[in-house]
Amino acid sequence: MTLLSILNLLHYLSLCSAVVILVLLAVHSFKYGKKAR
Amino acid sequence: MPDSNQLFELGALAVYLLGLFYIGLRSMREVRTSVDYTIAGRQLSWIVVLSTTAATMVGGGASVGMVSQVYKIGIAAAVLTCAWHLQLIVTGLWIAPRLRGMNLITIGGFFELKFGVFARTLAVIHCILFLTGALTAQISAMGTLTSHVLELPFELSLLIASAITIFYSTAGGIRAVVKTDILQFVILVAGIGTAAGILFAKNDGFSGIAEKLSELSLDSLDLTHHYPPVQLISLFVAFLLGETLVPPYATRCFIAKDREHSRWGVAGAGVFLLLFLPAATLVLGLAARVDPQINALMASSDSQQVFPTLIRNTFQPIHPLLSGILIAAIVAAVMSSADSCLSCGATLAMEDIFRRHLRPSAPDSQLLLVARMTTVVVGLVATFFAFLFHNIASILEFVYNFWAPAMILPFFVGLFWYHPNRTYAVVASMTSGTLSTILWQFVVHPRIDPVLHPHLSSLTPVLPALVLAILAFLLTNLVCGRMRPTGGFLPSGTEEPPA
Repeated sequence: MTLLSILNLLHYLSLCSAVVILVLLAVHSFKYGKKAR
Repeated sequence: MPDSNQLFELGALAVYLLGLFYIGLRSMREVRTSVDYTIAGRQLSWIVVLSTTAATMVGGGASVGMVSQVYKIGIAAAVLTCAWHLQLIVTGLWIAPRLRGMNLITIGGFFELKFGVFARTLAVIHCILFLTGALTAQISAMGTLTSHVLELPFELSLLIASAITIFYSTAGGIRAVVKTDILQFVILVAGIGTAAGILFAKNDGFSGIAEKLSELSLDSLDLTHHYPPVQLISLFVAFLLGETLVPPYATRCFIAKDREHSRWGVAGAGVFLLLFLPAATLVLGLAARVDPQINALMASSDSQQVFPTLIRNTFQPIHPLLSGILIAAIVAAVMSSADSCLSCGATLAMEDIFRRHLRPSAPDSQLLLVARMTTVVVGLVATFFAFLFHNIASILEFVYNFWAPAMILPFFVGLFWYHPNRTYAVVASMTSGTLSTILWQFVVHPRIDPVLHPHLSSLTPVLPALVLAILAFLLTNLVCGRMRPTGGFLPSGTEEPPA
């Protein structure tokens, strides 16, 4: 595995982690909002 | 008269700033006690702790600063930032649950509980030094960025940005800070992620970027091209220790609803940032490096402007609203760190100065008033300093150099190898850590010839000062290890021995 392919992989991992964390936050806000109501 | 592109950018920024105002006003109604104002009633779940910790970590240095560093020195800058995130993982997994279990409000409380009043005073002085430096740097960064975006004079932009931050931090305390941190976290992750994704695709991934770099004869993907290995390791250690358990992160350990939420909130922020930020800043910095238009613009302006310039040039042609949202993401990154420092400063003034020294039996309503007033005063003082000192990187480097040698070892001794008789050794290590930093920075380092001793001259003060602090601890422990602490050295958790 070359340095460039590792960097490409890290970039995709970076984007996936951003999506996952935003989805988790959205789920939490939904649950919190429901509880508050 | 601003053109339509500018109007979109200003509109996005205005919506974001109005959102902050709204959160500040709403949080004001939820704050009833000083505990609500300073530690949010200790009710936050792990995902909220994760968001606020990550938003605090990604300030001006880790966003705008690091993109410009990658632009200048390449991959080494992105690798160095991993140290920041690793320290959050270590703090979260092993330190945060223990700190949360002690029900503390400030770092000073930890030092008094474990090592007595004298150690507390030293710790509070270090916290004040750190918070003043970090807040000044972040407010200065807010002014620089807002001035670039709004095309207003630096002084006016500084006043606008700090007035908004001071307003919502004063109105809602840490509750408003945490809520705005979540908003800022969402904007900055979505903004930086989108920008990195689009620029990655535009440049055909790292293979395309590497090709363009070799055409320009640049070694940006060579780790040791800019820093020799010794300096790289020294900087990595300085980054690793320089921010460990600084007041904004320690507060994040205190405000979780229980030990497990504290553990996974702080460690989760470290894991997420380790996955997300180094790769994203590497793409952004290198995409700017291989863009001839950005290079031409940067020839005549400050390298700190690389990130906003890259965003404007790349995204304004796609849609000016996208450029506006991404500019708001950059401002959000800086504001979220400034508000955390501001909130910690107010908590310190209320708990460690007012309640500890001036009015120990003050009613809660008075403590809340003091906390609110000190938020305004601390904010105004930092804004005044930001007018005087503009070099963000050197301010941050200065305060990091003082923090680690004096403060890291006492935390580890207090949490993992504690005995009341080690108080003298801890105070000796704190004093010698501070004195060694001063000596290295102002006496030894200026006399080292960089040509004769390149490795020694490239060392940051953190490493030698930390080694001396550890030596002072071990020696004093050897000599005074059997002496029971008394007076100002007596930990508040133990009783004075009979005379």
